[in-house]
Amino acid sequence: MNKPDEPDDLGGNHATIDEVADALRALTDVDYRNLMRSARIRAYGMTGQTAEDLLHTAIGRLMAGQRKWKRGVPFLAVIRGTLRSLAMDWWRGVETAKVLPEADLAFQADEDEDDVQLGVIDRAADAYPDAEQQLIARQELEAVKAAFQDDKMTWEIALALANGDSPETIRYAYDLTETQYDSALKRIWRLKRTLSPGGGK
Amino acid sequence: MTHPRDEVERLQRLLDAIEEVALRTPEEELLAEEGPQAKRDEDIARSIVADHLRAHGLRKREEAKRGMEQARAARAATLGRLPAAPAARRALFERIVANQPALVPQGLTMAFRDGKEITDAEIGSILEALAKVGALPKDGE
Repeated sequence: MNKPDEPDDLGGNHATIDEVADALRALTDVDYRNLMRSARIRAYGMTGQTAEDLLHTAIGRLMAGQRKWKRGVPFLAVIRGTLRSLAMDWWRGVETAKVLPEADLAFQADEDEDDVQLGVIDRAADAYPDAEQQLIARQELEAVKAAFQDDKMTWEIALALANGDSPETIRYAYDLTETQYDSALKRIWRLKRTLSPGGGK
Repeated sequence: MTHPRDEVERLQRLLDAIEEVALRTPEEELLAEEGPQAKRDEDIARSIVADHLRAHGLRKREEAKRGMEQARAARAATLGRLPAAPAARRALFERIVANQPALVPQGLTMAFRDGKEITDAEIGSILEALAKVGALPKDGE
């Protein structure tokens, strides 16, 4: 099924709704698990929002054509980008997300889909979070900092990753071998245990 | 890459980092860590996707049904302009052959003029085809 404005895009830059449906039908068991992992990660700190809510909304946006899937971009990366964008909207206190073509996402894609790194969506300047949400986010960060106060290197690396620095830049900046870098990534993975899992309220 | 402008963005970047690590971690390691929750999450995601696909299927079926109904209505409107009685249809066909022979396949026109039998079905079929393309003469033409 195509939206009224879609036929012009057939064979164009964005996938049709039917193509999105086909891609969903082709998801594997591992894909499903990865999607929930991403949803759970994005739901951290989102009081009253569950990972299930986020994933449901993200798929719904894609199926409604409110989020576009740019041809050539891995489908799972598009869903992850949509989850991120929804989380940003929630944090920004935006009730209704604007249609944001995935073309607006900056991608660095290798042949291996796992190497895809999502870029950051710069939202409109009118979507800043309110003071309460800022406070919650700050508390989440403080919790992470407290958990890693004896491991300042890992915290620095996490912030560098969070700041968007490339692995190469981080390894160079902290003079890390590949093994040391991987070990730091594992410690960062455990950071999530210090964050609120979302939901509740 | 720009630097985060506030704590919300900083938190999202931190989650980017955690997600990136998840993507780079072998599946077996993640499964070992997640235990039975991994299967539960897989089922939850599958169920969410299935719900959306089911809704999509329903919308498509409704759309197809509406399309068929519209086509049926259009056909009924078209055929409604044709005389119902075979004799009246034959008379209309004769008028067309006499006045606008180019609208009728040449073989049929010649057969008709040669006095060969043209069945009611053939006449009906030609008139319907002409009606569909809007070439049917109006009454009195």
